[in-house]
Amino acid sequence: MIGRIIQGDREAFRHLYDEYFDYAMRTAIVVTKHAEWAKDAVQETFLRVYRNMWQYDQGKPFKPWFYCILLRECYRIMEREKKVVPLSEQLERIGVEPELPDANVDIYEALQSMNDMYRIPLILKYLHDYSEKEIADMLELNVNTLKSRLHKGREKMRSSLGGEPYGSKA
Amino acid sequence: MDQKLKDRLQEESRYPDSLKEDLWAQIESQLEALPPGMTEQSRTLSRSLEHDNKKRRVSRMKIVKVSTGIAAAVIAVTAFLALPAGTAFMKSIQDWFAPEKEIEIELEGDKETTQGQVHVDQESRYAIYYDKERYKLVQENDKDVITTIDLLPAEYPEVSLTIEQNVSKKPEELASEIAGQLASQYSDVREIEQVTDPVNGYWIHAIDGSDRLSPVIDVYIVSNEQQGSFILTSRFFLEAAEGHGSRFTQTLKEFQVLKPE
Repeated sequence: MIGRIIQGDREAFRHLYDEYFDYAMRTAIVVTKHAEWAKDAVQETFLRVYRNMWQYDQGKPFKPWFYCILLRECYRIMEREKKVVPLSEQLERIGVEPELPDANVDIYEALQSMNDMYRIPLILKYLHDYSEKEIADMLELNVNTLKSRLHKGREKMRSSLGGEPYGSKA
Repeated sequence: MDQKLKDRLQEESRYPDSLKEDLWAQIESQLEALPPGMTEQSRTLSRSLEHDNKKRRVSRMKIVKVSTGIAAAVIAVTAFLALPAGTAFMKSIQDWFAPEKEIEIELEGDKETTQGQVHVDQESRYAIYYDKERYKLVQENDKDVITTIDLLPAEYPEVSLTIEQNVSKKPEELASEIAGQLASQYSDVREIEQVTDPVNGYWIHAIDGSDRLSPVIDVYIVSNEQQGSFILTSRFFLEAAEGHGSRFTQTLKEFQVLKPE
């Protein structure tokens, strides 16, 4: 399929779109926390994949390559849009954190209140059930660093949720 | 709890059924709109320049206009940003301009790794990575300011790393001028030193008092590779010397003047 896409085969590209759209869209929505930004990120990702497919090393798994592009697009759009976040909205966000920990905090809110360093690995882990090796490849981290971040992320989640036991014990 | 988080992520990431086809239509139209021979780089350049035009700000720093030469540099920079990860193409430069990279910082003997966010200022011709987990970069009229994400309590002196440019004065001239200005604001201003670390240029260190909250300033003056200088100023307080002070010093090691075309 990759070879056909490189040759400009739209049908093959559509197959790839069908296969990856749902994962990409869900990831982008959760990472950017903004439906419109997520659409932009996904659209740009597929365009970029199409045009850069010739650079993909077919000896390596496709998924990490694809997700690297997707996450970079998400970051790029978030950085671009952050510059125009109204101050009132920023203050509102700042105001949320001191309320933690709280047993009533929603688990999703707790996840989203964390730093990207912990938030993104946890999203990839729990949204898609990717393996630690796959996530490490996507984020260009070594597996030990990734494991440490997942562990610390879970700890932070637990703390945000008022000490409620959380996450796998592994 | 694992299952609860999975369920909530699935719930929060829902999207309308029609979205997939709507987005495909947009993607297809974009593919149609681009001639087959049009490269990713040129497309990215078009978008970048369009974006720049929208957000152009009036600035003393930004007096260098985008010329054909700089446009060529923009192609290079945006091409690197556009490159998918894992490609070996021009790897060393991509490393520098990757949107993010891990930076190792040594604080009080302990090493820690932090996520560096690149800021490439194509008009002022410099690039820097800063710790995006602790700091934000604010673009003001005549300077870029890297400062703490969370506001410090009012009693604390300013904590920031400022990058500004003087396009007409060379570092040696500016250094004595700035040292003179600092003398009226700080009780102890050290002699100007020529340094190669964290940057290659002149360094002026000054402190006002010896309390834990006494303001400290480090000014580095670096050539802009033309007729002027970059002025890199880190401000913090005595107690934060091993914290913010060290982090700013590390950040300055990532500062790079982009050579004029």
